[in-house]
Amino acid sequence: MRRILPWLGASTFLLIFFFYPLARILGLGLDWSGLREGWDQVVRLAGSTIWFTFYQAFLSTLLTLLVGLPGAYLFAHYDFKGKKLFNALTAVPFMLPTVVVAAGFNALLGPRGWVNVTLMNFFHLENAPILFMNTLAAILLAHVFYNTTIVFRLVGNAWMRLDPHLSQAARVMGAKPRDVFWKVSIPLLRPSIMAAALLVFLFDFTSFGVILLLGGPHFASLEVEIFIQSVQMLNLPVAALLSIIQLLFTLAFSVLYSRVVAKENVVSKPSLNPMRKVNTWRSRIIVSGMLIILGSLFVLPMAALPLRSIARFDPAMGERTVQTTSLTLDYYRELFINRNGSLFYVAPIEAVRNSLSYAGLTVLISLLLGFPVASALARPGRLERVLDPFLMLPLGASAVTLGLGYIVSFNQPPFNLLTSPWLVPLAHSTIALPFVIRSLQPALAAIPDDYRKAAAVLGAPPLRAWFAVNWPLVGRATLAAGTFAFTVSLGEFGATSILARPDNPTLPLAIYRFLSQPGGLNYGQAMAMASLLMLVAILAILLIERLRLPGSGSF
Amino acid sequence: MLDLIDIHKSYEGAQLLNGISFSAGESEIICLLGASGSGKSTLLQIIAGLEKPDSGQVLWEGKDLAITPTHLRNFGLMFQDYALFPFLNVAENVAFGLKMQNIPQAAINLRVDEILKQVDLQQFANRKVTDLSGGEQQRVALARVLVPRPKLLMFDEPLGALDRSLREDLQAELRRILRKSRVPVIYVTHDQEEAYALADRILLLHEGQITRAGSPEELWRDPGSAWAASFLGLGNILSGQYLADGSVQTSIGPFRASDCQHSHYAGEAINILIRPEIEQGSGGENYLEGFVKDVHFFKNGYRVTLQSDVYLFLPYAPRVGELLSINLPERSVQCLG
Repeated sequence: MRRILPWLGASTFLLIFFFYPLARILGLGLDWSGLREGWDQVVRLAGSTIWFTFYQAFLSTLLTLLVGLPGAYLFAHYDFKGKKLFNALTAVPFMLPTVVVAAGFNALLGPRGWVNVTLMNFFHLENAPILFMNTLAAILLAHVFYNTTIVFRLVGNAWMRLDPHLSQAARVMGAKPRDVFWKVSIPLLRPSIMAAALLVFLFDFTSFGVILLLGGPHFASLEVEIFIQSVQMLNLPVAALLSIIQLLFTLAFSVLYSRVVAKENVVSKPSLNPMRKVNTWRSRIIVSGMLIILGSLFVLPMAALPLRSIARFDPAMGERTVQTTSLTLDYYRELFINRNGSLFYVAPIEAVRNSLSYAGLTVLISLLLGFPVASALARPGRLERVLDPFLMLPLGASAVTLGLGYIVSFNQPPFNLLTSPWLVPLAHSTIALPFVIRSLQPALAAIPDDYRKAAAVLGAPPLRAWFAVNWPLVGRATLAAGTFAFTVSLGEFGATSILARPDNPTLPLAIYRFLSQPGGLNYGQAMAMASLLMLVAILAILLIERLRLPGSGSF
Repeated sequence: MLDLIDIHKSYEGAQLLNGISFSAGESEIICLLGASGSGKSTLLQIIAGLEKPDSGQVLWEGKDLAITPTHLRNFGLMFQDYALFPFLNVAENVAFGLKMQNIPQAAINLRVDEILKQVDLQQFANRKVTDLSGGEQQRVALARVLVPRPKLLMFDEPLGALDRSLREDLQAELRRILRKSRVPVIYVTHDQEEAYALADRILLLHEGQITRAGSPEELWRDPGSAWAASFLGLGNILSGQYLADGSVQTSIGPFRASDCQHSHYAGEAINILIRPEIEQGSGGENYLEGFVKDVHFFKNGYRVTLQSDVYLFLPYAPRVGELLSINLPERSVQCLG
C-alpha cells in the first residue's frame, strides 16, 4: 500500500485527463454510424492526408540530415572560437514555441519581412518578390530549423566518441579516405544516424503549429486535418478517426525508435578524440562556410523577429514603392490598448496574463503530481517498472488529439469543464507531466541513500536530514522541472488551439490570430508578442541548460 | 629496408620524440621498449603515416615516405585494443585489407580461410567479433594484420590487454608466426620479459631518445645507464664516488666495478649496479655485508633484502636479523655510464 501511495495522484489524474479522453476518441472514431459523409470520401481525405504527412516528414527529415550531419561532423572534429556559445545556441530552437518560430520566419521571409522589404526597396518593386509563406518550402525550412539540433547532439556525440583506432586500422590496411568514411565511420554511426532520423521523422510527422502557421490553407497533415475537422468543420467523428490513425503511426515509430536506441553504441569509447585546430586554409573554408550556413539558419529567424517588432516601414513621400524605415515601440504600446473592433474583447496584454497564470497552474499541478512519482521511480521496484511506460504515453500522443479528447469527454456532467478556466492548464499539465517526471527522476536517483543515513547517524532528525542533505540537489532539479513545465505551457499550441475560449486566448493563440489578420498594426503586434514569448522561452531554456545535471543525456 | 632518420615530434608543447634514428632489416624483430607515455605508439603512427613527424624522415628501401599516404604504404599495424570493426563478422574483418586491394572475392575467401585455419579460428568465421573472448579477438586482429601480406609489421602492445598465462602462451605462437612472415617487425611493449622473449634487437626508448640498442643478451649484460638498469629490473643501483685506486665508494662500502670506462676521474659521481644473482661458491673480489631485513621465497630460491635495501637471490634462507657476509661473483658489480 505504501508503494502505491505516490502513484495515486498522477495515476488518477492521467486516468481522467489522458486515458479517458483517449478512450472516448477511440469510441467515437470506431463508431461509424455517426459519419456524415460516405466512406469513399473519408478514405480519400484520410489517404491524401496520410500521404502528405509522410511526404513532408520524409522530405523534412532528409533535409534535416543534410544540414545536421555536416554540422555534427564539424562539432565532433573541430575546435574553433565561439564553439561553446554556438553549442548553447543550438539548444534553443528545439524548445522554442512553434508560434515564435513561425513568427520568426515570417519576420524574415514573409511578405512584410526583412528580406522582401529590403528587396522591394532596392529594386523599387510594388510586390514582395519572394513568396515564402504558405509554401512547402516554409514548412520544410522550419522543420529543419527545429530538428537539426537532434542530429547535432545525437550523431555529433557518437561521432566524437568513435574509436580513432578503427579508422586508423582501416587506413593502414589500405583504405582510401573515402573508403574510411563509407566503410568504417558511416557503419559505426549508422545506429545513431538511424535514431536521430527516426526521432526527427516522428517530430515532423506530428508537427502541427509549423504546418498550420507557415503552410497555410493548402497543406494539411494528420494533425492539421484533425484540428480543421474538429474546430472548423465540427466533424468530430472524422477527426476522431484521423486521431486513431495518427496514434497508430506514432506508436509504431516510437516502438521502432526504442528498438534502434537499444541497439545503439555497443562499442563506443568514453575517451574523446583530439579536436582539430582550424589552422589550414581548407579547414578555415570548411568551418567558416558551415558556420555561416548554420548561423544564418539558426540566428536569422530569431534575430529578425525582435528587430521587426520595433521597425516600422512607411511609404516615402511622393513615392509608391520606396519605403522608409524607422524605429518604434508602437506595437508594444498597442498591446495594452483595448481597441474597438479589435480581435478580442480585451486588450492583447490579457493574453499575456492568461498565459502566465495557465503556466503557473501547470507548474503547480505537474510538480505536485510528478514529484511523488519521480521519487518512487528513483528507487524502482516491480510496480514502478510496470507503471513507468504508461506514464510516458502522453509523450507520444499528439496535443491536438488530446484537445479533441477533452472536447468530447468534458462536455457534460459530471465533467462539464468546457467553460472552466481549468481546462487549458489541465491539458498543459498532462503534456508537461512526463517531462517533469523525466527531469526530476535522474536527480532524485542520483542522491545516494548513504547521505541520508550518514546524516541520521550524525544525529539529524529525518525531516531535517532530508532538507540538509537532499534539498540542494532536489531544489535544483525541481527548479529545472518547473521551468520545463512553465515553458511547455507557455508555448503549447496544439491542445490550446482547440480548447481555449475566444475571450480567453493564450499568447500563442493571440499571435496566431494577429498573424492571420491583414494590416500592418496586427502584424506588428504579432511580432511584439512573439518577441516577448521568445525572450521568456530563451531565458527558460538557458536556465534549464544551466541546471541540467552533467551527463543526464541530451533528450 | 626501413630507415628512420632523426625523427622529432612534440605533442601539446612537450617534446615527445627527440631525434629517433634506427633501421630495420629483413625478417628482423625489433622491440621498442619503454615506459608508458614514452612515445612508442606515436613512433609507430609516424612510421604508418598516421602522424606526421615535426622533422626527420621515414625511408623505405631508400625512398622517403613523406608524401606517401598511409593507405599506399602497405604496412600492417595491430593495435592494443585490436580495433576490430564491430559491424563486421570475423571473416569480414579479416578480409577488409584484401577488399581494399580490390582482390577478387574468390581469392579473398581462399586466403581468409587459410589464415583463419592458421590462427585456429576457422569455426568462428561467421561470429560477431563482439562475442569473442579477449584471446580470440587478439587472434582475429593478428589474422587481419597478416592476411594482406604487408611489407612491414607493427604491433602496439598486442598482448597488453590479456592476462598473464594467456600472454605467455601467445608469445611463443607469435614468435613462430612473426619468424615465418619474413618481413621486418616492429613490436612495441613496456614489458621487458615480452621483449626478451621476442626480439632480435631491443631499442630502449627514454625521454624521446633511444638510450640503448642491442640484442637481449647485450642489453642484459650491459644496460649502459642507471635508468636502463632499473627499467630492465637488473638489480641494485647505488650511487657512489670514483676513487683514485679504481674502486667506487658507496654508502655501504667500496666496490671494485667491472666494465668501467677509463675516462673516469677520481671524485667523479658514478652509479654502479650490483646484480642480485649469487651462485654457490662465487669467487669475485667484492664482499657485501649487512643484517637481513626480509626474506621470502622466490623462483626456486630466496629473495633476501638487507638493511641497506640491497637485495640478493640466495639458494638458502638466512634468518631475519642475521649478519650476512657474501662474496659477490665476478663481474656482478658494474659501472653504469
